[in-house]
Amino acid sequence: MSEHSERYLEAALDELYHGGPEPDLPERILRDGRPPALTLVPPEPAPRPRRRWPWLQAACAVLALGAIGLLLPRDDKLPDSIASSDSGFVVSGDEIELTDGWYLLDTGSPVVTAGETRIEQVVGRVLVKVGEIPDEPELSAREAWLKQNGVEREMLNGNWIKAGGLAVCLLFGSAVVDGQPLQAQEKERKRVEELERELEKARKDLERAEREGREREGGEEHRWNPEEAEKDLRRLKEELEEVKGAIGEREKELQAADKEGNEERMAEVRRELDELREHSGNIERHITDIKQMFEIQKLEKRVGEEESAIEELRGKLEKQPDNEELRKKLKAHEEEAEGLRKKLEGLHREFEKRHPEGREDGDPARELERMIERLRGELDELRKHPDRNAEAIKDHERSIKALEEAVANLRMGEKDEFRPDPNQPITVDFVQKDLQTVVHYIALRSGLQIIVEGDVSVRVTVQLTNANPRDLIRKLCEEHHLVCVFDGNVVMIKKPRKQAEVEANLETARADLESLAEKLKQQEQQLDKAEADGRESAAAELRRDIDELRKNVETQREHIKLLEAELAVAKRAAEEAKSKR
Amino acid sequence: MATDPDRETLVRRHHLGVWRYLRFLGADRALADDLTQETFLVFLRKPFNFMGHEATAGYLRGIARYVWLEERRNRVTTAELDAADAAFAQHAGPSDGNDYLDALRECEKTLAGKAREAVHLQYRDRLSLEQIGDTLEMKPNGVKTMLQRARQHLRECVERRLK
Repeated sequence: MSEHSERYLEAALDELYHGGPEPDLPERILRDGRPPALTLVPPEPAPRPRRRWPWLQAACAVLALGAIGLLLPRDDKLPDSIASSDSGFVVSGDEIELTDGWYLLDTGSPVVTAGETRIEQVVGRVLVKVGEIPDEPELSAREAWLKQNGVEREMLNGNWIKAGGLAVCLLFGSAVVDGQPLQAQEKERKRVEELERELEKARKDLERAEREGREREGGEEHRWNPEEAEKDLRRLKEELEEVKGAIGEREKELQAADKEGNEERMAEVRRELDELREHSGNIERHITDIKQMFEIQKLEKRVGEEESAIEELRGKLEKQPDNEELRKKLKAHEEEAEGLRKKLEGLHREFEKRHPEGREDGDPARELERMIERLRGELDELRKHPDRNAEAIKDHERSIKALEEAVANLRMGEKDEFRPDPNQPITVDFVQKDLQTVVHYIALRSGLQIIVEGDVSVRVTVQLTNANPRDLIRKLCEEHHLVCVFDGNVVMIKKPRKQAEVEANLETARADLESLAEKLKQQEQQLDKAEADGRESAAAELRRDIDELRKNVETQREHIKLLEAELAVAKRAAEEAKSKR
Repeated sequence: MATDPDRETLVRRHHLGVWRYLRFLGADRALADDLTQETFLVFLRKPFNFMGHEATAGYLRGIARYVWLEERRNRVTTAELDAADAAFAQHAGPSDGNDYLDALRECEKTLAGKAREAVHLQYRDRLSLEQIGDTLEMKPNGVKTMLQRARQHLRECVERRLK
């Protein structure tokens, strides 16, 4: 969330100094936002009815040319409310029967039909194609015509429905299709509802799979009982001793068999040894698990205690908001709780890492994949009779799609599982590597953002196990006479500046601090006055400003401390240089 | 009974919120202008039942989100956008970001010394870290750190005022 806060603040700062959108934006929207008038593109070629029906062709063959005119009106013309593209239709009284092609129906369009299907009462705009819902190549082929009529491709995305022999896309407004009123907004809402239902179903499946996985994987956790665990631990340690003893015996047997040159016996003993070693490894892992569970329990208890203390302190602070002592205590407890939570998270992560086989069984993504496999099998069966199973096929396809998305999301989440933690110990082992490479590694492992100034160029040899990343950086800096500036999770590593330069900066910083302190003093005096005069709103405003200023003073003090530390390093470096000379 | 606002009222009332949302998602000023127009183009072409300004703002953001996704095809995931939506709604609040901007205007006044100068130089004068460093006689990394602190101060100040 902090990244978003930062982004929001930056956008707001830009707006503060440079204003919002162009002042004429609303006018432009209103000017351009009107629905484009339906540009009627004359059908090309002239709309001659296409004689598609065999019976009609037969009739045409039989009847004399004069009679054809009676059957098929040659001056068929579409009304202004319909645009068409290379289309086949028959005007029949007040209705238009569509036989082929694409049509755009606008408000006031007459009834159009195709076989049993009727589209009527169009208020808005409807795109109709005779036949199936168009695919990409078909849409591309009509793109120019659609554009001429003000239809953009994105307006069609996912908005098609199939009604009898027609593919219908309600662009906006409403229409009655086969007696069913259809509204653009309504249609979208239905689609969204349908998607949400699918998503909800997938979510429930996922939750169930997760729950089942947890139950399988975490059965021990649910039954966690410290006394039982102690007993288990003792038993396992004894068993481990026995297994190790057996391993020792088998090793002797192996040597003996080797001396005798008994290959058969050697192979047998080796097999037994492998099994015993595997068993020993399992016991050791189990012992580590139990020990870690003890630690987790202990940490959880401590987190709980810290949270209770925080709760209590917050309650007290509400009653005494000016009590600095309480505030400090609260901060200390919050920091302690945060540190403990991080440790706890680390332990949980470690535990999960050591149990990949447990995850395999309870892996929700795997569960969903199994469901997908099953559904695919069913779908293949259903497809053998597509006419009979049209609905079921659609349902299966939708479910599979939703489940596939859920699996993809889960897998994506797994990739993100590694979360660097600046408080987690790390192990480093570098010999004569440049500092940039070493800190790059530390940054990746710890999540600290480390900036190394361009002019720093040292080679580093470091071998440390389970070191706190911040301590590690401090040590590196000390060792190589560099300055480390820590600011939250940001660390800057730089060469110590010359003593004179740091002193100058320190002087400026101290002057800034003085001016801030002076400003603070003035505000405090104003506050006293405002309170004495009973100007409560002014006083409230001043109190807020004073709070801000106090924080600024604190920040400046920290800055000065850092400069002082830098000055100490610079002095030390100067002295060393002097003594070398 | 009050009548539903007409399209002009809706555009004037909501265009700023949509524009801010698009800026927040990462559109530059010109692109935010264009995409705001595109958002309203889609909005005005569809029939719409007015259900209050807050719901309208949410509906418009939904369209803007789609427009942004199209613009950034394959470069942004819906999960990222979901997180961004939640954050935007939290910061902008029902005033579409007006309250936030007012609070920021006040908080900016509480910045002092070089931090204030650095913020002005970066956001008002759009200078680079190097240029700011030259002006303030500081190293660019020092400027960067100071700006980080200034932004943190502003964020906390705005949050307190909005509470």
